[in-house]
Amino acid sequence: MLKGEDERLPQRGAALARFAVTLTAQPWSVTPELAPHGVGAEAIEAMAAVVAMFNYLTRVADASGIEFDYASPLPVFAPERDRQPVTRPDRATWPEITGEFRTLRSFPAMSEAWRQWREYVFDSDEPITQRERRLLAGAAAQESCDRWRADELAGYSPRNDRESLLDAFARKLSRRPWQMRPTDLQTLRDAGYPEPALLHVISAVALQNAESRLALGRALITR
Amino acid sequence: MAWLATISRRDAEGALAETYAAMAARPIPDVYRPPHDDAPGIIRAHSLDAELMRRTFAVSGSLHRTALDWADRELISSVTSRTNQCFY
Repeated sequence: MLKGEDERLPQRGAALARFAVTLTAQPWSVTPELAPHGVGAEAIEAMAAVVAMFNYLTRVADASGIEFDYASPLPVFAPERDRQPVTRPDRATWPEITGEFRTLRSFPAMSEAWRQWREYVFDSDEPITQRERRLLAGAAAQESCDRWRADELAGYSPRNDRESLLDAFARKLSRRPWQMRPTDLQTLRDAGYPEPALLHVISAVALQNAESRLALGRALITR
Repeated sequence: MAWLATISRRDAEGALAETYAAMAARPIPDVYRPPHDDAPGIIRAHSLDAELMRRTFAVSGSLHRTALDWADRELISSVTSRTNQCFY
């Protein structure tokens, strides 16, 4: 899973990189064996939080089409747009990580900030409905192979063409965010979703991808 | 130009202007400062909802107050972005 440059990292750095790659690309396969040697539970929780947050931010960046605008000294990164995502395993093998592990118990301030963020994104009534938010989150949880959350939202499958468009958007943004195009948003605009609603659609999908990885990353210390 | 409509810091009013101002006041490394006068694109992407912007970046800001040092955070975040084939 690591690129050649990562293998030349010191042992601790390579272990951190391996954790980030696995939790991002195939979160269902995180096991305690991935835990970097000598890293405690609190640091593992922080590692999972960083991976989770950047799984949110990258999806917002990819779906909204923002341009790179940092004065970075690093070489320009060229995405592999035609890269294929990792095949998802059979549902029977998905790990089940319950609700209490979707918090950051070692960091109370961040945990409370996350709770408030989550409440706003998943429970608001506008500019998209709670049902639409749960449908989007359910698709994202399935694409993350997050059994507990997918089961919790199992009742929110598409009932009509408009909801099917949301479902398709959520699955693409979850599984292969690097292939998002302007037409993905335009399809939802054409179905009647105004710009503020599009932001909340993106946010709900991205946050569920983040939360599922936060939970599955905690598998390092819970399984 | 982003595919999603955004509101620049210059055109922001009310709650959005206040949120932009609060975020601009946060200390950030020079490498994260964009070479223009507006807010970074990832923040502007949330500009259609000031409350969403505030709650989202309250979490990202708190990542700097954990058990990980700056180098570890940067390594993990950059590997995560690269794995998602994203420049951010």
